[in-house]
Amino acid sequence: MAGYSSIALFMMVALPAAGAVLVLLFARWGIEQVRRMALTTVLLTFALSLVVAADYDPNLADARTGQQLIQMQTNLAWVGHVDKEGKYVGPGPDIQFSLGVDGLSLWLIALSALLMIPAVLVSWEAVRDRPASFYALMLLLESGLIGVFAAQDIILFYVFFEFTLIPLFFMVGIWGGHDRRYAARRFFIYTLAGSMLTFLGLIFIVLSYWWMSGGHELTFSISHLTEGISQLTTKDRHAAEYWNGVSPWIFLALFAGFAIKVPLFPFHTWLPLAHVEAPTAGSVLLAGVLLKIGSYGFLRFALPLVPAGCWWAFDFVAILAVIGIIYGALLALAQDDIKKLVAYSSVSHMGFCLLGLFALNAAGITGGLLQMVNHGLSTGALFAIVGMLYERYHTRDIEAYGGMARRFPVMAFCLGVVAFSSIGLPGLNGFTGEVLSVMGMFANNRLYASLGLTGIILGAWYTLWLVQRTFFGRLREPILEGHGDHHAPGDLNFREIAALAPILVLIVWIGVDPQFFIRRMEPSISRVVQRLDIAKAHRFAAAANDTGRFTAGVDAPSVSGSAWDRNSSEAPPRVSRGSGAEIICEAEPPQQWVPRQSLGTSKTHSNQDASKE
Amino acid sequence: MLSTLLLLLPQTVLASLACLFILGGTFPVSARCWGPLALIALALSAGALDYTSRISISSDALYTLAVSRTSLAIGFQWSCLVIGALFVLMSMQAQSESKTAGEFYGMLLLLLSGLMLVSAANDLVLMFLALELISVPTYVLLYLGGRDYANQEAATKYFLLSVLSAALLLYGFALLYGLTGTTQLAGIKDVLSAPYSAEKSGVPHAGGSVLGILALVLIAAGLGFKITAVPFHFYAPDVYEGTSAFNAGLLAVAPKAAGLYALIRVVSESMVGYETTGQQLMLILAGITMTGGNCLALLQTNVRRMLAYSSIAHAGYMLVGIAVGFWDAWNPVLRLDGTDAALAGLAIPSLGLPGGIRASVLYLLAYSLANVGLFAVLVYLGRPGKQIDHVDDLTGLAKTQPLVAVIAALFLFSLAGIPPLPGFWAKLSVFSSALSVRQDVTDSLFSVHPAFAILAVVGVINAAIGAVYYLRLVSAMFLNDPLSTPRPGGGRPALAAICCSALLVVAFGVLPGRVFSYLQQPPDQPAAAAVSVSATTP
Repeated sequence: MAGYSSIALFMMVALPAAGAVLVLLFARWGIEQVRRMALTTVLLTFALSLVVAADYDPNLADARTGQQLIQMQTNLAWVGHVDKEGKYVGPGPDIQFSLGVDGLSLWLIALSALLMIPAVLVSWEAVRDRPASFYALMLLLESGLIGVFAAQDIILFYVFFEFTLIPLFFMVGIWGGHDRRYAARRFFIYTLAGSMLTFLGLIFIVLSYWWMSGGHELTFSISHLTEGISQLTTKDRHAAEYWNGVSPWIFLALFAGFAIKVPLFPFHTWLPLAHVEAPTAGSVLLAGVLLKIGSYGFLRFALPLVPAGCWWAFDFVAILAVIGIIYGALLALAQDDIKKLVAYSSVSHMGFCLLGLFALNAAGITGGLLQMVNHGLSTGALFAIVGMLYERYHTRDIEAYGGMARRFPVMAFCLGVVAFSSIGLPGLNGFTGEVLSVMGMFANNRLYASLGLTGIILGAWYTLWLVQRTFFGRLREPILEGHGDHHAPGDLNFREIAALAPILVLIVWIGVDPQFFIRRMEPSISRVVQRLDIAKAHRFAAAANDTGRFTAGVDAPSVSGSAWDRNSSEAPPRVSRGSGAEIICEAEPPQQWVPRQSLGTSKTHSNQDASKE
Repeated sequence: MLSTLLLLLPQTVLASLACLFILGGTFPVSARCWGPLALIALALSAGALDYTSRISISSDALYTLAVSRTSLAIGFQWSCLVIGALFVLMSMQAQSESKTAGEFYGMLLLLLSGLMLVSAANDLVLMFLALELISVPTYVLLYLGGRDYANQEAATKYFLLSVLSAALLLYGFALLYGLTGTTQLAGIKDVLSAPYSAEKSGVPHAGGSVLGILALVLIAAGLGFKITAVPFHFYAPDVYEGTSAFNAGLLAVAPKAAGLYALIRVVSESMVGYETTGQQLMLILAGITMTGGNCLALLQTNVRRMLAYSSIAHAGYMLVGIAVGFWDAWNPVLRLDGTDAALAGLAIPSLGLPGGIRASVLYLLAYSLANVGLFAVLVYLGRPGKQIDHVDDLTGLAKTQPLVAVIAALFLFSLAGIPPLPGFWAKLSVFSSALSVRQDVTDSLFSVHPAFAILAVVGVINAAIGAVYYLRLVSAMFLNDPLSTPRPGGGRPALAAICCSALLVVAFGVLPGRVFSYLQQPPDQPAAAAVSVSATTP
């Protein structure tokens, strides 16, 4: 099992970092060689991501427990000491350099690798000042981003999570726009402040599991923690009581970092500034991938680890998401700077992701995850196109443009497709994600879902209005000042088309065949949902008892539709092509909830077992 | 007696060579030779340390000696020598034309021997002597630094307050002696823990006598001056600003390391029965030190003054570990492990993460490496008569001195705690030790101690505040265009010091396993086994 594909995943993290070093070493060869080297690295990494995606088997599960969903693992001892067989012997904490992929991270890894291609190509001509440093930082950023999504160790995740700040800080601060220094500093501090609290939350999760298991289980492995905590809390009454008590606190700690990263409504103020001031490649990566780290963090840590905390915060987060959707959209409507408009639209769209995730059911989470990928594609492409336009006219003022479609028909076509994808036209990718998110939320709370829907309408309004004002109507060109050659700027050249083509292909592909993508997320999502359902049942049971005490253990009530049998062919959210209408209608038959196997058996499943298999 | 002297060989070598340096300074020898000679002296001391850490002495004998030899102390002494060598390199260029080079290096070596003596002292008298052996050369070094008013003011200020703190400390030591009737640390521990040896209920002791509490407070105040804990910090910014970058670097590292180690030896390890009082004291000190240092650093525009406040803030994080250490001694989960190491509150073996005290030692190491490097950068970039004072003096360094700028950014990011650099591992250890404190040790509900949870939250918020001013330096260096072309006056040796500390920082950051496992060793492990690890650590 640990074959070439796990090497491919490892290489996806290592190769860009090696490329960055190479680029710096050969900086004196000049810009031509440097950017070619960067492009080669990025293309190779993308090819590796195709290997990973092709080799990912969604139905692969551990034969005994049906649990192991992490694939292509690489486990290297990092801080702790291991013996020759790779078994942890201490001393030192058992922090591993552990990479792997599952349904939650697969498409985000692929998205990061994909969006690097346009990011390099749009910088091709735009970055002429110290190009070697620029491309080196970009490649380091790619390493960090793929690492964040692939990390299977809680500390390793945090290392990558924080590390991504450094290259982006320099990219924005050195190659950014007019107000770049302030934007870079603000972005860095804002994100760091939140993520330090997240750090505390992550440490606390590890320590709590150590306590709950009586000081026997010290692990930093994300999958072990998730499995172990959910088993302990179902088995041990004390542990469950304790975990329920601290869940809200842990949730708040995680929320602090991830909500700023997403960004959720009151924490979004760093985003417009950073997006507007960043160089085009920086904006593409910020909007396309960086924001997803926040929502991915919720999906990876908050939902499966502290489901009780998620239910506790359900209204809070959902209301913030709804406010973000509407407020972001209204702000986008009021902008006269194209880049700012796209930046605020990100706030609105990421609200949809969170609305989906915090529907806390299969349809919603599937929608939220798909929406993350969709938003990465469409907003990444939008920023790339805005960058191309800016490169031609050096202004981002919407008023200055008009009738551009006549001058740049190819660009107009690309923008049209991307805009329609962004507003969720059926047949393109945005539709499936948004509809699933809103439907998921509808099952839980109709008010929030309906309010969220207005965001779709507002989204169509500001996006189409932007396209209409800039690309249609009377031809109005900004005056080109300070440029000696007055020949009119041409349409997209081959390089720019190559930058946009892969995104357009995926936009259509996800729109036409979402099932292909959803099928690979499904098993992982269903495991998350399972935990959420158990927590929900306990919550209701506690409310019904009206004692405020948490009932746990074997006397847990039956949960309808909770434990999906993963081995059965009937997987939970079935999405038929092009529409999502029947997703939540397919109710599972009520099942008696049975506690999982005891922890004792799962302890034998250490990391190295999994990697051998 | 003989074995005491034998165990003190590294310190003795260094101190006697220092005397030779001071004597030799009166002869008309070329000033150039003193720097390399100082390096040789450090190498001789390292050889002696290697020898003494191998000789076998029974643990019974060690108990009665005035000198202790634990693996932690040996690691500390190796670090002292390495950091001392970095300081020698840093100053070589400036001293090569100085008339007082012999005296300068003599004092530096004397200071280093004092620092190593602190870690070896097993007796209150020897401990006080060691601390004075650091203070007195520091006064001389501060005076040797320059003749202008600012420098004189800095030296005088440091001298007066240092003497005051020594008096407080001595008073505390005297009270402790009066309470227990012995000056030996192990003896003090035995006397103080005698009433509790019968009942090991696992509950921290509530009290101790008033005399003991007074001693505790006085010792904490005296050592708080050395580590610049907040109510005793106010001299630091003025002194750092007034003196040279080299002296500021020395002040940022040496007294802090000595004070922290003495605090661990005298208060955490010896004063059994005062855990609750000590914990409350350290909790408050840690909280206000972190917050005060960081908030005041935000307002600074002078680089050395900013780093002074930053060093104050870092002292706060180290005190978090000390505060946790009081609790670790009574941690029932540690008791489950059954080992003496766990009972001594020095490590959480099954956790694999360092306990409170080890966490703060780890923090000290990470802090020292980054700070030595950072001050080496300031020494390198300054020249006689034109030091790096204002943040603007660093503007655009990335264009004029790219290598130095990148390395300086590395140190700053490490201080800010960005992974994977030493500062991150240090913060990980400190915060995880703080979060492992439980409210009620007999409670089966594992509830975390609220005071420590709040302290941890204060700590991470402070880390974010700290990042603001570190980032201001980084953005001055990288995001702005140079205002002037600096002509670095530090020369190649200082550049070598910068590169060496950068290598150490990167090695520690990327492969922290060795440091973690070294700190996990039980305190009384025969040192011969420890050497194999420590020999490769530097």
